Amino acid sequence: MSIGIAIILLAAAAYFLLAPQPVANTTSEPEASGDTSNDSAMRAEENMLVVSEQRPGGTVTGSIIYLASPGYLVIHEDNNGEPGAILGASALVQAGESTEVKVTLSRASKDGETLYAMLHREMGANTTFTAAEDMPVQSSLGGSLMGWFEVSTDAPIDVPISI
Amino acid sequence: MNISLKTGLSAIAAIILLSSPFAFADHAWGTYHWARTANPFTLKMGDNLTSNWDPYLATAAADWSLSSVLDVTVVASGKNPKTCRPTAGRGEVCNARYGSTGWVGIAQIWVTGTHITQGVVKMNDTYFNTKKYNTPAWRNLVMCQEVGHLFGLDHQDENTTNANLGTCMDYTNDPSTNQHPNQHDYDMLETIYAHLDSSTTLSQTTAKGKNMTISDDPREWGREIRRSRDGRASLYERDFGDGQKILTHVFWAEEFSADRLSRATR
Repeated sequence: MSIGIAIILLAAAAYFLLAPQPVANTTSEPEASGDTSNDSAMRAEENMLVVSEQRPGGTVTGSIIYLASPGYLVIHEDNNGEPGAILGASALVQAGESTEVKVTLSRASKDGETLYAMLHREMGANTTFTAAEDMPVQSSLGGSLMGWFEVSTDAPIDVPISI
Repeated sequence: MNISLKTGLSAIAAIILLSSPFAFADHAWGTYHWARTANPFTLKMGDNLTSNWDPYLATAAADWSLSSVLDVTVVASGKNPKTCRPTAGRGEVCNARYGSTGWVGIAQIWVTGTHITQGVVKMNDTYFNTKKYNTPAWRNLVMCQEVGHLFGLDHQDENTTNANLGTCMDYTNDPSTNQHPNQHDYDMLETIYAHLDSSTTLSQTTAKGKNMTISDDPREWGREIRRSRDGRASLYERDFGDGQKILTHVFWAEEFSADRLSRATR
């Protein structure tokens, strides 16, 4: 029985020494400089993309990407409310969750324009986006899995971390 | 295993289960929280929703206001729902057809250090206009969950095929029994907000054009929209119109009850 009692005392001591303590008094926590943002999304499909409003410039950042198999985040121009010409593609994104996926555009995005983000599946095993063979990921709703986003100089700074 | 060792291990398990604040609730979203100097605090939610979504935001606000550490007030807002830009010190809730993006709802928080400074919830009508998701159960679950994220909560479970946990913070393929927060969520909120901060990141302004202050006179609280099973907690809603409401969360003293009060104030 003495061993049992000793274990109880040790466990209790370890708990009270190591466990986070409730704080009753006012505290001031250290704050990092600058804001960051964090996204959490409820998925409806195996593949998913979140691209928020962006500031004009030569790159676009995808906040969260889910891919069932390796692929690419691809940015398209707007063509009368539909995805048009491709402006750029990310490096190969592995299957699973990825955050802060960057795409370098072939031209700088402009204030006020709408662009489209789309996921394409890697098909040729060459690890480089090739529009002719890396076809868009399909949505369960029919058509390509994609979303639009606006470009604005007033867009909030967006530095996603993930869920 | 001898009896002494069994006794010891059982005691360890009991100590951990009974003592740890994280034993039954461990789904905080990092260490993110709103800075505030007192509890309970009120978080405003800007309503940028089409009218068909309003009841779901009202339900979520009422549900989360049952927490002992926070209250939610829905206020009118005028954001473009497509971009749904944030407002410092509060949440903004929007709906639009955001595209076949793979997500039905999304929550986004901006933080400075560990302090949440603003948040946004988007409900994706591209999916909610489909037969599968255009149901009160799905709308309620997703609204409840995304609003819950703005307080600093994460999911309790992300497996969609296991048994439901009875909370909107649980991923599921069947939303029917995951409609509201459960006790684990309220416990987690109490843990997240157990400390106080020296400053606040919450909006301190009141809604324009309305005198939305109410006193501790129960007759000013509006109608009772929710009551706990034991009658010890009630939530009242006072509707000022234009989507502006004040929710009053009441914990009754033992000698008082919602029943007695409603009889007394008639």
